[in-house]
Amino acid sequence: MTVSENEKKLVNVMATVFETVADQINEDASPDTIETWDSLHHMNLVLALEEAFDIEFTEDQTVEIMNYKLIKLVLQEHRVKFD
Amino acid sequence: MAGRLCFKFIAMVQSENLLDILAFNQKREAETSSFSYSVNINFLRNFTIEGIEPFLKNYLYKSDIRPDIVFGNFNNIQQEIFDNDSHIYSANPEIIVVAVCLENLLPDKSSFGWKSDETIAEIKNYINLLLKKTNALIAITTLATPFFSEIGITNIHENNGLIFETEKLNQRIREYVTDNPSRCLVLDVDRMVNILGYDASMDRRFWYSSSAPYKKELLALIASELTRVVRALKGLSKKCLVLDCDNTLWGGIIGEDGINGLKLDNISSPGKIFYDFQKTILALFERGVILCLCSKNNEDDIWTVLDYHPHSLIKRSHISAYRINWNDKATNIQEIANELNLGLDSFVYIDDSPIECGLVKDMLPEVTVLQVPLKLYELPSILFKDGWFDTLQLTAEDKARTRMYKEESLRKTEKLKYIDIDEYLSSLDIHIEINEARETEIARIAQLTQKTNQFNFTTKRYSEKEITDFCKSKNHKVFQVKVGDKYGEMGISGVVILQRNIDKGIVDTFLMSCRVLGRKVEFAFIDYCFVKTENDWKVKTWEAYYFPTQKNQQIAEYWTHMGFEITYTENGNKTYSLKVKNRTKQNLQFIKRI
Repeated sequence: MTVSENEKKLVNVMATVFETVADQINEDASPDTIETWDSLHHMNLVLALEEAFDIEFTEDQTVEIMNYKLIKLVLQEHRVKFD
Repeated sequence: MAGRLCFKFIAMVQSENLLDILAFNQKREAETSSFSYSVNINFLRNFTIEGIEPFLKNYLYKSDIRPDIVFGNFNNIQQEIFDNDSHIYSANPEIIVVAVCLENLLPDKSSFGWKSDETIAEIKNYINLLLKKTNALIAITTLATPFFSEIGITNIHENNGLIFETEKLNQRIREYVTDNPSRCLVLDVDRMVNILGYDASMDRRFWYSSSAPYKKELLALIASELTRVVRALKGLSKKCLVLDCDNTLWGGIIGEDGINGLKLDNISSPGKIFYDFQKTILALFERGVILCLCSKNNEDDIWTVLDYHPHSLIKRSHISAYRINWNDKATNIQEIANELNLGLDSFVYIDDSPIECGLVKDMLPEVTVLQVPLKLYELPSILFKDGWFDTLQLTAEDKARTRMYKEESLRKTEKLKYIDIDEYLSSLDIHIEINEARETEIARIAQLTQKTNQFNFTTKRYSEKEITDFCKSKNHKVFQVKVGDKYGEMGISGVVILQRNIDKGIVDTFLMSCRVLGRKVEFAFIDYCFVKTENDWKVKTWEAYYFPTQKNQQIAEYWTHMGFEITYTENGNKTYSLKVKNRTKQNLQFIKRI
């Protein structure tokens, strides 16, 4: 299975923001699996994703993106492709 | 060594990419090499300011400083100050930042009618307690002035609106800090918001979701200012500025373009850009920064510009050390450092040549190297924007260094007080001492004939031997004038060489040093020489010349003003004549002759 560029980008953003290694970021990544995912790191996650994908989340979306799968879904709403 | 190299890229706040910042920080933290400095910073705040941490760490890392950053509990300023067990007392921080935002200061229900008086009293009380109970430097923020007024356009004529009260509060904070300069300083968030723009600074989305009102751009700017404070606190400020000359202090190349071809004036670009840049350099000099020159040039050419160019604000007297020669710049800068007994890490060097900049960077990595920007209009801000020379306070010593410069500025301000030029001049207590040249004065007189261009009628260059011969000759007289005023003595500043031809007296040479012009000494001096010589030689007619050059245009009309008539013109060279009986004596009573 090939991993899309955007998938790599997402993993890289999350690994950097949560100060961990890319291996730790998988489909199940959430505040339950990543210790550093607190409210302050979450703000950095929002800002870093917006920077990396050149988008702007709505206020609701900033709250929705609480795990890896949800982040991908919301990014897709912003026309980010993961094929 | 890695740490030292880090000094060079403290390029502050443009548009910062958070991801890059985070990645850099993690990379630096993973490195085993230790930091040269550390700092312990504590935030007391009434809003979410944690977003500043990546930026603050980043800038401090780049300055080789390891920060220990602690955030007090959210909106808990008062409790933490009053609680003796609080971390601000136990952790013994070096800097305590008191960060307040307006929204959390205002009453819950309505800000209408809110007065800042109580708030300023509260803030003053906090600071007083912190000053008493800690040894830390206290940094207090100002508040972003609200963009909209709750009373609409009537805010303009109502002295009680929210905007008015916020501005008043900010002004009181600034004043209060100014009164306690050794321990307090302002992080002027309101000014930073003005720089960035309100919408670029304020984050309404995170304000409502997380009580975090500031966008990362504003947080980055606050972090950069705070870093400047830390650098100054750690004694990392630069002390010495080494300047290249051509295309750095002025536009053009003195060796090729000549003093009149240089781009340096206070009227139009690019001359004005260099003029403004020189102003910023002088401002640093006034703050005690040591100025040095390092230029590949003939030394005399450079001094000619500094001594005589009408718009060169940088004068010879401002320069503490220099290497003007054809050696490589790294060697020269090293020599300057040795001469001044200063470490290279306190040096900033600026040059327009990427090759010279690269060489100095390679050979002397401790030196901070700045290159004249390609966008030349960025030049005047280059020395200030990154705060290389920041100090927390100006010391008495800093100010003493500027004494000489102040003498000149005194002369200038005095000038403003008088409308009539003679009245002004008489207030200067100008005194002159004229005599025929003595042996000890010959070297300086010869030098003046060789160097003086602007007020020089014949531009004849004489050696010491030739001057000595004139002095011995019965048919020549050499006069010199020493000039002084109430601000200081300027030494030998003018030369007249007269030649006798039966009953005709010829002005072979008449020159004045530029720095004494504008005092009418140039009239008193020649007047004395004429009177004295008329008696000694029984002169009936005076003959004088004006040989125009590129540099002496300003004196083209001088002899005509003195009553002389043109008798002969050849290739622009003019010969003038005046009968002694027609000569009117100058009335210059404000000049005292010693």
